[in-house]
Amino acid sequence: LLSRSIANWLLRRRQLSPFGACVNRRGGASAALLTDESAPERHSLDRHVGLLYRPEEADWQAVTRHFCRPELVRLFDTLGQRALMVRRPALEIGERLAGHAGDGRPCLRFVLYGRRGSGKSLQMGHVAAACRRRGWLLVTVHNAHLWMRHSRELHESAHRPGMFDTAGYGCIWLRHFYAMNQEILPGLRVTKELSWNAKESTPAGSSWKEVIDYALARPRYSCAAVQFLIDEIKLGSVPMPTLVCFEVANCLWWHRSGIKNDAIRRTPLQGEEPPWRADITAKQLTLLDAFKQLLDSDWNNGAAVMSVSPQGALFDRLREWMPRKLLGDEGFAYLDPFVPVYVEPYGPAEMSNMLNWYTESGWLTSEAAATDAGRAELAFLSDGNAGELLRIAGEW
Amino acid sequence: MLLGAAGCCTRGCQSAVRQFRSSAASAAVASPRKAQQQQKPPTSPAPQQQQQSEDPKAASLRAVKVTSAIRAYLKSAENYDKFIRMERENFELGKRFLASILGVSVADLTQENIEKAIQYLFPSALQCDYTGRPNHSMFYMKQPNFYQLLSDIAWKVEQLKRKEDEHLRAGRLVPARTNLDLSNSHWLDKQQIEKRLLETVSDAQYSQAIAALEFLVAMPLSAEESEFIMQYRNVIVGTATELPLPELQFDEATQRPYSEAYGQRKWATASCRLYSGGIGRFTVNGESILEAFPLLADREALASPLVVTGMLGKVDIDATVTVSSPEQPEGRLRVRTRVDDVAYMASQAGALRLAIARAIACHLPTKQLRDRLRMSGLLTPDMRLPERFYYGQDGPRAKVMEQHWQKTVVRMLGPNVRQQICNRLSQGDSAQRLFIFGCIVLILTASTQPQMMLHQDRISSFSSSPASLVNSLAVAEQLASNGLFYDASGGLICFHCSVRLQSGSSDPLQQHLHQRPRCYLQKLLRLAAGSDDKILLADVAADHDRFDRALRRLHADLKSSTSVQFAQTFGLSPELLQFAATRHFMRNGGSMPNRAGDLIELAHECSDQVHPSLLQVQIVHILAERSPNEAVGVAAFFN
Repeated sequence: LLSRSIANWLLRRRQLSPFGACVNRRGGASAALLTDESAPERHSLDRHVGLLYRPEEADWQAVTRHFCRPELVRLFDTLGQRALMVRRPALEIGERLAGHAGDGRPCLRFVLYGRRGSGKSLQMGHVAAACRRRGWLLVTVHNAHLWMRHSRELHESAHRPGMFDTAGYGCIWLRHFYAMNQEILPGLRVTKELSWNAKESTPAGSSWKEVIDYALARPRYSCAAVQFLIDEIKLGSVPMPTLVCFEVANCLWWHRSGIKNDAIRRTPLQGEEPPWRADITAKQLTLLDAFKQLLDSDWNNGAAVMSVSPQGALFDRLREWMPRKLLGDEGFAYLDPFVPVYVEPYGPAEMSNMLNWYTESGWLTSEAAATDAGRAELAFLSDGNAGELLRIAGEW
Repeated sequence: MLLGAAGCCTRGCQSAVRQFRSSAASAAVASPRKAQQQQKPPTSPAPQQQQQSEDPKAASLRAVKVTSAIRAYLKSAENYDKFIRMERENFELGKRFLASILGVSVADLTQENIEKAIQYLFPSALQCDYTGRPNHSMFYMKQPNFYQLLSDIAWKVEQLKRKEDEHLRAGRLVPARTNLDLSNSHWLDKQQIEKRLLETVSDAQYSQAIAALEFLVAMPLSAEESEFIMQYRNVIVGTATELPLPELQFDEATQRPYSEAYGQRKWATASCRLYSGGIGRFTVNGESILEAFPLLADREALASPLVVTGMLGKVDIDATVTVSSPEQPEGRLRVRTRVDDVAYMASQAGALRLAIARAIACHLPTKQLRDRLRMSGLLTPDMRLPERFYYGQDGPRAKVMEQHWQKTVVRMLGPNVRQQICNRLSQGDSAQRLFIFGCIVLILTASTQPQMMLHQDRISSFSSSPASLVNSLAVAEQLASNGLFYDASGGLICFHCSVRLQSGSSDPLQQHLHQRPRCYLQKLLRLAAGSDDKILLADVAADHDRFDRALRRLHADLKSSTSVQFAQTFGLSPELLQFAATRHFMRNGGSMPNRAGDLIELAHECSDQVHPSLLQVQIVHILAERSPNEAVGVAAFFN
């Protein structure tokens, strides 16, 4: 790397003395600014923006780690410490939610948008962790766009004719849901009888735990169980407020998917290329349709935070990141009105603090990275993008 | 000392003569003589020693009681005498040898002449003074010249410090910019340093020396030692003339100075407007740099002019980049879907890099910085263009390999038929093309005599035929190309349909048609030969559609068949399985083997029946290549 070798050369030229004495080093790195306030709900806009905090172990295990990309989790494991940045979008959403809870207004919807790698998921994680500490019920979906990539145990739904169940994903999500809300769930009861088939049903007044256990023992009914629980939430049978987090929400309105309908195997038109099987989109998948109902505003005592991202998009819209483009006409009409929240690139102070932390924690090992010139170059190359900085810092 | 030197002279003369005098005759004469001379000394000492031991004086001394000290003295004296005698002899020999080299008689050779000759032959080898001490103070170190260099640098550093102190003591400031400007030169590399010092140096020592030199350069007043320092640097001679750099302009509205410049590389052109006194804002076509250049290497290219001049984060840049590809044929620009974002990006980054370097040059305060920009090559446009596209090739330098089915046809039917089929494929319509591909797959998989499938095998089968049938290799070649081979029981047999041709026919192809009109091999051969038989053309028209549907279905089934995947777990190669499945498909009117067990059985059956070299034929390739337009889609689907 030309620029890097030049930086190294300049540095060496300043530092090295052939006779052993080391000239004092002038570097741009200083101590990272951390705040002692580890409770995300107590972070405030006027005091904590741009500072790093160490998430508490319980929060991290229950909530926050699900919102991090695997590279970041691996990095934290490698360094043996965790630090996340307090940023404006999460605090703004948190302020609105604090005032919103418990008054019978309809579901408040936020759409996080920004360039790929700007930190939308982590902002959502910050909001979710704060809400968990306030005792909210969390309904989080992290990789629905992958559910549409590969099908796992696809079969026709008994409860909703013409649609398809993905039993494997239903089970995985129920387990995830149970683990995330372990303290709350034992106290929740279903308000009406749930009939699974002609013979079996769960009576009204059973706990949610029983419903989940039943579905985990009978995966065929996992998607139906998800639908029942979501109906319960929408009916208002949950005493506490509910927070819905849905990552890559635009996948609900994709026109194409990786799951093919083997049942519908059209005879090819003249000269048409294979494959001749129809795509199964989110509209035909019971699991995704259930969560889509939760993103509507026809229920009370809750909020939904979504992100839109080009991640995993098929063929087009890879470079788009504005919600209007990503959601399309249909999705935009469905979600309107919502509060758009822009997750912007790092500003100079945030970038500097992040570089300080990377240096301090030993992730930036190159000597050049500690100099002003090296830091300017890192800021330029990553363009203020958190994900890109994480990737590039691994090479420096 | 002189004697020793003369001894050296004898040994070194031979090469010296060859090198300097280039007299082949004298060298040829010198070498045998020298060999004789060198053999002489070992023989001479022995009799002399004997003579000495019989000396009466020594005999009388032996009678006296001698102490060990005296004995040692005598022995050393004896050795010394011996040594001197040998040296003297060598000197005389060397003198004679030198005389013959110089072309004078021994008597005329004076001591003065000898000294001159030695000085001429060994200009630097005698590193000692007349007392025997080495001239070089570091003579006894392993690498005297290297350590001398380090010592010199240290000495010069001390001198510069002293001079700096003098300035300070006199109350003067050390003049600014008195350290050396090295922007137009770089350090000698390791080989050059070694050549200069006449010693090998290790990597660590090399970097030690360079670090020391850099320390010297970084000192104030180092310009005074420029002569010494520049001995260890290569000066870059700039060949480029001074470019007309853009003028600095002022924005009327904001009163900010800016410059505009353009750049190009390959088919990309870029223009940029660069404001000084900025905060590092950078937009490309209105997008942020990360969106415009998602690859890190491209962004590093853009950063390089800013890094070299130290202006990173201090200027604002608005840039426009476009790619045009004039007169590019349609096949040139591939349809890309997922990777469209990074196509043609490097050339755009290169164009923009040049534009930025040109734009920033007029903002730089010193010529030194501008020189650094120029020396690093950032102001040099790259005028090369991509090579043109050639039809029928993947890229300008990427030759398309021979199509897979073509190799198959050569092996099955010989090169002549292959040429005919190629012509037919390029001239004929799509129905004919499909028919040809279908026939090849059918013949390849469903022939009744697969052991005779290869052209070469059929030719060799004629070696046992009677001369009345085949009288020359050309005839054998002709018959083999028609798919016929000679059976031991007599008669010609078609390897595809096993028909035995009746003897006595003048035209085997016609005879084949007469006896077995539905054989697809002869249909293929006749079509390839350009036959305009109406019945044949009607067959093609009727069959191409069937082949089309069959091949499409074969595709889909091979792709989706779980039995093929399952059978692979039994260690059977996918090629063999595809072959077996296709064979079954073609023989049984378009049905796939449903169970993996059937398929495995078929594959085992194939593996000893089918010629092993043909097993490598991937049916898939032939299927995919049946028409150029469909090939891409089919192959993509198959992968």
